[in-house]
Amino acid sequence: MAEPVVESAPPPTHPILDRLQAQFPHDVTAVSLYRGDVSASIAPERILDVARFTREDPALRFDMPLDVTAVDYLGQEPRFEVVYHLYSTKHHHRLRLKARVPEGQATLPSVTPVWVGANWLERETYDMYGIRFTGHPDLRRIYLYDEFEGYPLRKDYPKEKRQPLIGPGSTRGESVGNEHPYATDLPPPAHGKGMLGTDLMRVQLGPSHPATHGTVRIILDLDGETIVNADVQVGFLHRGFEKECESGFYYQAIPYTDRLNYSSALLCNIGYCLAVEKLLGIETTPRCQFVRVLVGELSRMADHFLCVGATALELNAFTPFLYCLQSRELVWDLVDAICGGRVTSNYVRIGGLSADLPDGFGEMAREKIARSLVLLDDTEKVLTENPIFRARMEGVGCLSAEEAIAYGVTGPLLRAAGVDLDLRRAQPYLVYDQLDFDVPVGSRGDNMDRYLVRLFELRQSARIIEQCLRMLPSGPVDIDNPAVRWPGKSKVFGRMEELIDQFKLVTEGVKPPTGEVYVGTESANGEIGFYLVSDGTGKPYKCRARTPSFSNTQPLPRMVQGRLLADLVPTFDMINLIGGECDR
Amino acid sequence: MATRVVSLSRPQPMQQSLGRSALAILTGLWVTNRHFMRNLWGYLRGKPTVFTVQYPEERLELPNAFRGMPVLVQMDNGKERCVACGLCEWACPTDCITIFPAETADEVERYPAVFDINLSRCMFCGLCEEACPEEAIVMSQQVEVCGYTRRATLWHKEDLLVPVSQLGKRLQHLRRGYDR
Repeated sequence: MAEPVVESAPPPTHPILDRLQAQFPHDVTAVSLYRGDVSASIAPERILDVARFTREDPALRFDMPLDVTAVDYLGQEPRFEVVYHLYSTKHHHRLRLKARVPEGQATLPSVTPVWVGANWLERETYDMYGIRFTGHPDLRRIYLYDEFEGYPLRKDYPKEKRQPLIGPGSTRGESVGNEHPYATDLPPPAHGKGMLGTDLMRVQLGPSHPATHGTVRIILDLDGETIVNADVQVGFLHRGFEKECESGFYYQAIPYTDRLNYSSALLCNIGYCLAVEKLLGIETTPRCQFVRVLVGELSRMADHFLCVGATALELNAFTPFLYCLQSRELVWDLVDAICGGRVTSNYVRIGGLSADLPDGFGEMAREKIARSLVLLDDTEKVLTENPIFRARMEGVGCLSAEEAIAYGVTGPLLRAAGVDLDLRRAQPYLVYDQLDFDVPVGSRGDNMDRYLVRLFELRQSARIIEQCLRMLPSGPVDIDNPAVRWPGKSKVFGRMEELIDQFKLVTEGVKPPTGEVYVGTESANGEIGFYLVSDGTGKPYKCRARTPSFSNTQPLPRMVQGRLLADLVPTFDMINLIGGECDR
Repeated sequence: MATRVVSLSRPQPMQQSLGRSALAILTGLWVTNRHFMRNLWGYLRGKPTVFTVQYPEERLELPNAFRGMPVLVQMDNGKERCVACGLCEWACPTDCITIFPAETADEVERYPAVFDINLSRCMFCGLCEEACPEEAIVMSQQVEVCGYTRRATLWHKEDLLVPVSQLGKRLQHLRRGYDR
C-alpha cells in the first residue's frame, strides 16, 4: 500500500503552508504540494484549532468547507486519514488538511463549531468509515440505515457482502422520532409546544412525494402550518459510487459519473476526467477542450431548464413546464447526436473524447438552441412577472451569503445570495479564460433570485456555446499518448503494436503515479469535485465525489424554518436536489 | 477573456405595480393562447407542430451515434466476427458479459462457444464496443428489450447476432473515428 506522495527535500514552500507552519510549528507534521494541490498533515488532536485559524486568519480565510472524507490505508498505522478540503471565497485558493487516526481509537474533534456545513460531511464519514467526531451535535448514519452492519468504504469490507434483511418491522422511523427528537443542528423548540400551547405535529414528506422530485424524506415538525423544524433524510438512492469506482479501472468509472447528476451527466464526466488527467499530469488538445466546454454548457442548459420547469410544475404552472421540457428536449437532441445517449452520455474519455462532433453539428446546434431560447422567452413571459409565481418565490427560502458560505453552498444558490463565486471565472479551467460570459449575482438570496440566476445562466450558456462553435480549432480530439488514450481502431485492426496497447489499456488501465489530487469544476448546481488517490495501480485507491446537491440540501431546514409548509416546495425545487448526485 | 459580474434586476415590488401584475397575467394568457392557436392551425393544415411523438405508432429518427443495446456482428457467411478474446468482458464495468471460447479448424480459429449478455445488468455504456479489437460487438439501435422473467433478459449468442447490414448507422459513426 503506497503512502500518498510527500515530496522529498527540500520541503515545498507556499504562502499558505508557510503561514500554517509559522503558527503551528509542532502540529503541522507534513506538507506537500503535489500537482499544485496545497496539502498539510495535522496532528489530529489539534485539528479544531488549526481549522479555526485557517478560517479566521485574514491571509487564509478558508470560509467554505467543501468536503470532509477519509481514506482507509489498511495495513498502515495509523490506519485512517481524515481529509478536509477547504476553499476561500475571498482569496479563491484551496487547502487540504489531513489528520491520521488509528483504528482502535478512531475519534477526532468535530470541526462543526468552525464550519456548520461540516455537519453532514462528518456524518457521512462516520457512516462510511466509522470514524467518530467528538463534539458533533448529531452524529448518526446519514445514507445507510441504523441496522447496517459494518462500514462499507473500509477496505476490509467486501463489495459483495450482503446485509441482514430488514423489513417493515424496522425501528428506524421510531429511532429518529424518539432518540433524536429534533434531529437538525437547530435547537429544539421550547417544550415542544406550538404558539397556542398545542402539540407540534410531525409530518413526513416523502420519500415519494409528488412535490419532491428526487427521493428524499423530510420530517417536519409543524405548528399549525408553520414549520418549526425540518430534518432532511437523504440516502434513498445511495448505491455505493465510491466503492464501485474503487473496484474498477479508472476508465470504468466514467459511466458511473453519468449517474451522479443525471440531468447534466456531461459535466460530471468532464470533472472526473479532468481529475484523472491532473493525476496523470497530462493536458488535452485544444479542440478537445473546446468541445468539452461546449458539451458541458449544453448539459448545464438541460439542467437549468429542468430545474425551472419542475419548479413551475410544482407551483401548479403546467404550461411553462412543458416549454422548459421541450427546450431541454432540443438540447438533448444535440447531446444525443454527439454521444448517442441523452441522459447517460458517457462521452468524455481520459485524454480525449469518445468521438468528435458529428458532421454539420454547428448549424444543427445553432438552430436548436435558437428554438430553445424562444421557448425560454415564453417561459419568462409567463412566469417572471406573474403575481402568483412571485408571491410563492419572493422572500421565500432566504439564505444569507455568510450562512451559505459556512454551509458549503455553491453554484446558483450561492450566487443568488450575492457571492460572485463561479469557478469558471474564479479558477478558470479548460478554455473558460478565453471566453466571454457574465456571472449573475442576486441581492436577497431568496427563491426569486435563484430562479433569475438560472434564467440568466441559460442565456450565458447559449452565448458560450456560440463562441465555442465559432472558435472551435481543427485538429485531433485525443492526445497522442499510447500509455493513456486507447489507440485508433484502424491501427488496432491492422498493427501489432497498437493491438498490444489496446489489450494492455483495457486489461490493466492507465496507471497514474502515486499521489492525490482534487479537481473542482462548476457543474450546474455548484462545485462538483473529484478527489482521487492513486497507489500506482490501474484502479483508484480512493475516488471521492464532492457533489453540490449534498452540500446545498443541508441548509434546507434553515431556509424553511418559521415559514409555511407550502414554502418548502419552491425552496426545495430551487435547491434542485438531484438524488443520484446527493446520495451517490 | 472578459467575464463580468452582473447584478440581477428584480421585478418591481408588487404593491406598487398592480397594473403591471394585471399586464403580466394578460401577457401569460397571450403566450399560452398563441401556442394553442399555432398548434390548432398546424393540426387543421395537417402539419402538426406539436412536439409529442406518438410512440409506438410514430418513432424518432435516431442519430448515427445512438447507443442502444450491444449486439454481435454477423458476417455475410452467417458466422459471428467475434474471436472470443475477452476484452469486452474485461472492459465491462458491470460484468454483464460471459464468454466461453472454443476453437475450430476454420481460418479464424477461435470463436465464442457461449456469448451471453445479461441485459438486466447492462447499462448501454458502450465500453465493450470501444474495447473490441475486431469490430465484433457494436451498439445497435435496439432499445426495446424486455421480458416477463429474469431469465428472458439473459440473451445468448443466437439472440445477439445481427447482420452487419443492419448496423450501418452506428458503424458509420464509429468509422469516422478510426483514423484518429
